[in-house]
Amino acid sequence: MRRFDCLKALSGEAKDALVVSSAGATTLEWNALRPGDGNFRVRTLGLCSSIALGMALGLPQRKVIALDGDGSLLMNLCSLPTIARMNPTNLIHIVFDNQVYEASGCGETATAHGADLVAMARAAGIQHTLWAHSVESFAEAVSRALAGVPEIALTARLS
Amino acid sequence: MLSGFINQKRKDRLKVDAAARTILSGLKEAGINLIASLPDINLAELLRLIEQDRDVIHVPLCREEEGIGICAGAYLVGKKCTVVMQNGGFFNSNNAIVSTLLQYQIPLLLMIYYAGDIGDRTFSTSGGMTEPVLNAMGIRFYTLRELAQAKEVIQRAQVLAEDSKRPVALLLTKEVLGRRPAAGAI
Repeated sequence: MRRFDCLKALSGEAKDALVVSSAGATTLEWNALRPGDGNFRVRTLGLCSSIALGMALGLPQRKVIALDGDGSLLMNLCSLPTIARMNPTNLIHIVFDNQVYEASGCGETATAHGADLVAMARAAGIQHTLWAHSVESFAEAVSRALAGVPEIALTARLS
Repeated sequence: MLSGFINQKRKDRLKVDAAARTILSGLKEAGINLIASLPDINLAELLRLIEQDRDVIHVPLCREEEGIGICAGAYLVGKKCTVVMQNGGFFNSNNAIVSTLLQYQIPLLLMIYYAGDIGDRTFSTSGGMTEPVLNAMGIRFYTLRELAQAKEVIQRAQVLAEDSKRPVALLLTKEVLGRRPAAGAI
């Protein structure tokens, strides 16, 4: 499963959702697919999920999508229990887990050694969490989330 | 002697309550409507009031740096925010302050409890580093020592943050929070 194919599927569904993307190539790919003022590029590794939470709390009538990475989320795992505690109904937290620090020379992250981000999100108290194992299951989960399933952490394991 | 001690305790309590009420109403009058926080014992009463207040969104944090991100995101969609934390939490937040707030010129009021202030018997190292680090980051700050000035200084600090599009810090001392310095304590 390639990230770009997932993003392509997402761009067909995202409509006017605000999108916060983590540092690295995800931002470039997303901006190529859906350019516009509704995209925010994060410069601080780890802060993607928190900035998206702030937007979701500040603008509850608008969908907010975080395009996070494994290295980024691992740096800010404490954002998961905070998201669970605030329980926003308009936040969709997508993590592309490629098991490396892609933008920093491709050294392995902890998910290459067994760390399970979906299990962590669930243990942090986030009610709707799942792995997407194919572009189809990713697209299906995204459209369900956009249709109204509250606060969701969706992690896609990339090859 | 015991009644004198109890009376003093009661007076201290009233001072702490008044400080919390004044600071929260100062924040609200400055337009603040989202407050992220992490507790310090000296901030406990203020945070209790914030949690009960229906006019502000309160985001209790696990680590202060995530609070900088939450406030940055909320600012971008129109909220006025502050992070209430100890100076240890300010140190925890430095990367986010530099590479999100300063990088993108996002204003943010930082309400920082000044642990290790003069007269404090703990955290003198943190206290000694607080002002130098704020200065090094180019963050303008004011040390609040008089509750009577708190409301006005909070409003002015928020104006400065918005006008300069930078974080501005208020250092909250034990004097202003109504907790007596620990001088003489063991």
